[in-house]
Amino acid sequence: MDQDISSGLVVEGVSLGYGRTPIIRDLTLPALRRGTLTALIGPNGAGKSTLLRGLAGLGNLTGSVRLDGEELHRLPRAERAMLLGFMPQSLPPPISLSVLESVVGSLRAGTGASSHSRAGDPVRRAYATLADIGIAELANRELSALSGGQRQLASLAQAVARRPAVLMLDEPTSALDLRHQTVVMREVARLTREHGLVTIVVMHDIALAARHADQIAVLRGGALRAFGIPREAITARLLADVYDIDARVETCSRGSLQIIVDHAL
Amino acid sequence: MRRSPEPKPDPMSASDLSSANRPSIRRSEAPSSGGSAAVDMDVAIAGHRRRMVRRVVLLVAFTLAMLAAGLADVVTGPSGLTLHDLWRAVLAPGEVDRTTAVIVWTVRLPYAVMALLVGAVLGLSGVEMQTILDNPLASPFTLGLSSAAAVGASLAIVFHLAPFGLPESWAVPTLAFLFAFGSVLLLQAMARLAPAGRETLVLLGIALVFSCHALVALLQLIAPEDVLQQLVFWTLGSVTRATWEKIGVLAAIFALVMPFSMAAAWSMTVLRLGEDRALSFGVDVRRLRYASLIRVSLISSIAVAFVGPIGFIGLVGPHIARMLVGEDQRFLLPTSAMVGALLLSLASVASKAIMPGIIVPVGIVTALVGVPAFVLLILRQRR
Repeated sequence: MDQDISSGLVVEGVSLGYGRTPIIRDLTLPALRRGTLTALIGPNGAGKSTLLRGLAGLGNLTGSVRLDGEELHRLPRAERAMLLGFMPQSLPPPISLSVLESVVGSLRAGTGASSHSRAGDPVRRAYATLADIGIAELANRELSALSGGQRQLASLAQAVARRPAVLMLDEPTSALDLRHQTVVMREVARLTREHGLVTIVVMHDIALAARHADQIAVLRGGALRAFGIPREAITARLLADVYDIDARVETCSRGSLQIIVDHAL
Repeated sequence: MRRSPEPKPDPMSASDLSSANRPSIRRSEAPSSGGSAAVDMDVAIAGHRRRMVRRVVLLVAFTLAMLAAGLADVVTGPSGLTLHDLWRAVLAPGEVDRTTAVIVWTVRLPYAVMALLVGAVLGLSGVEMQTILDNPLASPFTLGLSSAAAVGASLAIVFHLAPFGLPESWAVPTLAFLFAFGSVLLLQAMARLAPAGRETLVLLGIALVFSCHALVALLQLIAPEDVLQQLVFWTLGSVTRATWEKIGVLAAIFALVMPFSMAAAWSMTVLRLGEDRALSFGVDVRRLRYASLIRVSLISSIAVAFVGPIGFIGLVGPHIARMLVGEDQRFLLPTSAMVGALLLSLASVASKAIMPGIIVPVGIVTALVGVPAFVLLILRQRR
């Protein structure tokens, strides 16, 4: 896989919004290299989900989004869908469809015949994805029989099964218990490194983000307020500035970053 | 870019993360030995295959049930023909007496075939409408299609309209079709103006139902007495209007539409996972919705134009099918069509059995059976 410095995702002069009022205006991010995980954080209404949906091709985006130099939004729909994996914030509904079937659907719908010839039996591929995420046991269970957390894991499988080059996850751990939060973030980080993905994850848990992300992008009011490696980007001053909270950023006895919120400003 | 399902040395991965209430094979056997992952995959895929086989078996069973219901429909009736008479009339019409041949070929068979065909059309239309509009209450009836058809038919009957110089037997269905199909195009155009397409379409459909009912009532008010009976009878919905030409038209369009529906099955399946997911998988959701709506509106408009409004088949059929085969639309679409066919065929049998010597319009039967089913459905939704 091409790992030179020019490869990766470049977001330049991007504007997005519903209707007439743009939520994000002329946003440019530093280049996101392949094999890195970027956590997108910020207060409610900062435009995180809007930005992620826009990058995934689900909004009216203007500006330039290039992957390895190629303008993504000029690609045909099916081709673009093969490159972009998106996990929406909403859980898959509890319908009478097995987890395996739902992942097979993600492989077979919309992408035309090219995806079939490319990688063999979709059922085997779907199962391999479930095994990777650690939910092989849920393969033949129906979504209607699963908990919210289990459905969120199924949703992750649906997003990664096509082996996209860019992986965009909108709050992938919001319905998960503490253990699964860690497991999922580790797995996402592993996929990112091993397959040279550009991964962007919208998160609310800053400590979790700091532990797993290579860099953190902080958004407020549709504008980028900070960007960098977690230890440098996350400061008490930034938290006060962006979240309007009085908080301490401390290093725990094992060296990981912890946020202690004292009160709201 | 190879990713294999083999257990990784990482203790936090695959084997570790099982669902709480089902013992995994990996746990009951030696944990994380190289072969067990492959066994797991085979077991899972075998389980997946069993789900498929079960659905195929159901489809076959429904095909047989449909044939049986159709046969029962042909057999039942006031003229007291035996199965043997029917058999001979079908196989060798020349060897039976004229009356028997006429009854079988112009009454029994066309009614029975029309019931199956219209049921299938309504079942397919209902399930596609429910999927693309993400609304369990969508159907040709609730979107106002049947009501619009009734307006068209009423106009033709009251004012003796004969568009394109058609004979009277075709003028009524033609106008009914034009109104039904036109109403969907109008709904679609209006929904496009509004930002939230899906909900708007269903709401506008319901609004349309009320307007159409008022129009039909107005036409009934001004209709001369001799026409009034004809008008009322049309709005009841009955397969007794079946002719072989109409069957031919409906069957041809249905055969034309069904392959397109089946080709869109995967896209519709993932649409059930949510619009954003379907879009991210590369599905052109707008186009999918538009094409599907036009397709099923076309066939259900023709069906309604030929037999009149028949409620609840298009609403209840899909729900029964969904309970039986789940949301995989490759199976749900044909099953829903078959359930619709079976229901309408059984209703047609019942319509002849309720009052001896009289064929109760099948629209009344489906509504009578449909109402309790509808109530049950709503109660289940609130669960």
